Amino acid sequence: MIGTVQRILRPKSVDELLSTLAELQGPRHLLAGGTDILVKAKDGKVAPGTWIDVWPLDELRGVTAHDDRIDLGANVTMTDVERSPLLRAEARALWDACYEAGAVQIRNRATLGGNVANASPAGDSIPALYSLGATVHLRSVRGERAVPIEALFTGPGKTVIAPDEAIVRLSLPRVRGAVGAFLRLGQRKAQAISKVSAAATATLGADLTVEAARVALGAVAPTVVRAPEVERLLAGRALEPGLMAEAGELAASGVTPITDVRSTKVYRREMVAVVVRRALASLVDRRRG
Amino acid sequence: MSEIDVGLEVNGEQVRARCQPHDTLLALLRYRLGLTGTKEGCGEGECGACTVFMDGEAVDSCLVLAAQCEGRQVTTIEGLGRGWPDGLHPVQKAFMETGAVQCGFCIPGIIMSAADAITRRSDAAREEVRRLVAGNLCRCTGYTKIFDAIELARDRVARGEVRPEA
Ligand SMILES: Cc1cc2nc3c(=O)[nH]c(=O)nc-3n(C[C@H](O)[C@H](O)[C@H](O)COP(=O)(O)OP(=O)(O)OC[C@H]3O[C@@H](n4cnc5c(N)ncnc54)[C@H](O)[C@@H]3O)c2cc1C
Ligand code: FES
Ligand code: FES
Repeated sequence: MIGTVQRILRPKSVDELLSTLAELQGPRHLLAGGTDILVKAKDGKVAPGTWIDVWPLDELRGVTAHDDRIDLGANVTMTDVERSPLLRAEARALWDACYEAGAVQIRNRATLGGNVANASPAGDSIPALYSLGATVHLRSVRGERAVPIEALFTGPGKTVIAPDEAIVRLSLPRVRGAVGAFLRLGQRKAQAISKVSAAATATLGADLTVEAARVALGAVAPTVVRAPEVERLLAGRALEPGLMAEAGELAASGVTPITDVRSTKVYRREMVAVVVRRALASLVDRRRG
Repeated sequence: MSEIDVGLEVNGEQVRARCQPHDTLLALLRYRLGLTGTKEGCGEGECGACTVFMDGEAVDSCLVLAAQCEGRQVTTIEGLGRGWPDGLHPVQKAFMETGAVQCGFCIPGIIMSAADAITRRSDAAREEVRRLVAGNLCRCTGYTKIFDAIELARDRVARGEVRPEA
């Protein structure tokens, strides 16, 4: 850790942050809640450089509902999500992911911007954001661009975010009547990085017919992935237990997970079937209220 | 790498300290301010031994840089009882009475999390209490007495048997 933080800058506004990023030479690291980067720095995995504290930037905080979308500032924490009745009602997969993640002390600091930028295939907000069709808004002195969340990641820990850019917000389209769920399996309930996770967001007709569905899987590929074959299977059919089981099996056959410190490829593939089936069952329970 | 100057409020008092840019809040508390009630277990956010309140929210002080504390309000185990009878928070009292402590290393952190939990959720049943203190590990006790103590404190506060002093 010593030496990693060569100096720490604390810009007072997003504009000042962006001009700082534009002018800086050499390695720079944004610091939000610090729950990923400080652990990495202590493990010697962060290049020495300039750290820039974005946590105090209130411009990056806040959940704002518009007619067609909900905007979430990059500094919105998992606790903020957990405390938001709006997100529980309209972005349930994300709410579930934040409710399940870490523990209180972690959720109080863990920002959505940090979870997304960290680009872990096991980052819990990410499958939820895929299922919700989220857009990531990146800003630099050159301007702002909107990147669909699925286009943000290029590999584990790798994104298309340029060195002079910061995530300023995420936006979620508002879909009337959509239901969602996120499920994960880990070593234990709290504090565990997911071995496998699944998120689903769908609109279901009165007879539980799937009108539209997005399903995403975590920790089974170099990045979070959609499960398009599952979405096609579900389209237009009523969500009954046989179909849910079939969807789970199809999801499992579509992934090629790896064995690593947290789990094995065999366990992961088997469990994809389980988390997908359970996530779909939750959609039905929630649709029925 | 030059030293930085950090000004913050700790347990109701304004303090200033010289720190290294890589110093954590935990290091600031223990080694610059001598507040050794806050413990370092894992140093990586897993064990909660370093739990303090920052602007009223429970955080792992091992994962906050001291530089991030400029102008913030921090409460440690040494200041938790401020404003309560005998200077003891109801959770502290309950731990003492029930003997919910073995080696004691985890206890300051657990008491901070428990105090936060029962303040926010005075109706929390055991499952919810467990969820709210899941960020704290104890290597000794097996947790049963810890949860009993937390529930005792929760019930006393909920029934109004113990109140902060005016
Ligand atoms: C004990 C423990 C348990 C955990 N449990 C979970 C869990 O259950 N699920 C889970 O998903 N994660 C978990 N995590 C990981 C971590 O808490 C999350 O990924 C968290 O959301 C990271 O956010 P942060 O604000 O702390 O990020 P930081 O550590 O501050 O930053 C993470 C990365 O994002 C970059 N960054 C931050 N903000 C921006 C921005 N606005 N624009 C561009 N880049 C930015 C930083 O430069 C850094 O590279 C856990 C961590 C710990 C220590
Ligand atoms: S020392 Fe901070 S969580 Fe273990
Ligand atoms: S009493 Fe020893 S670690 Fe908890």
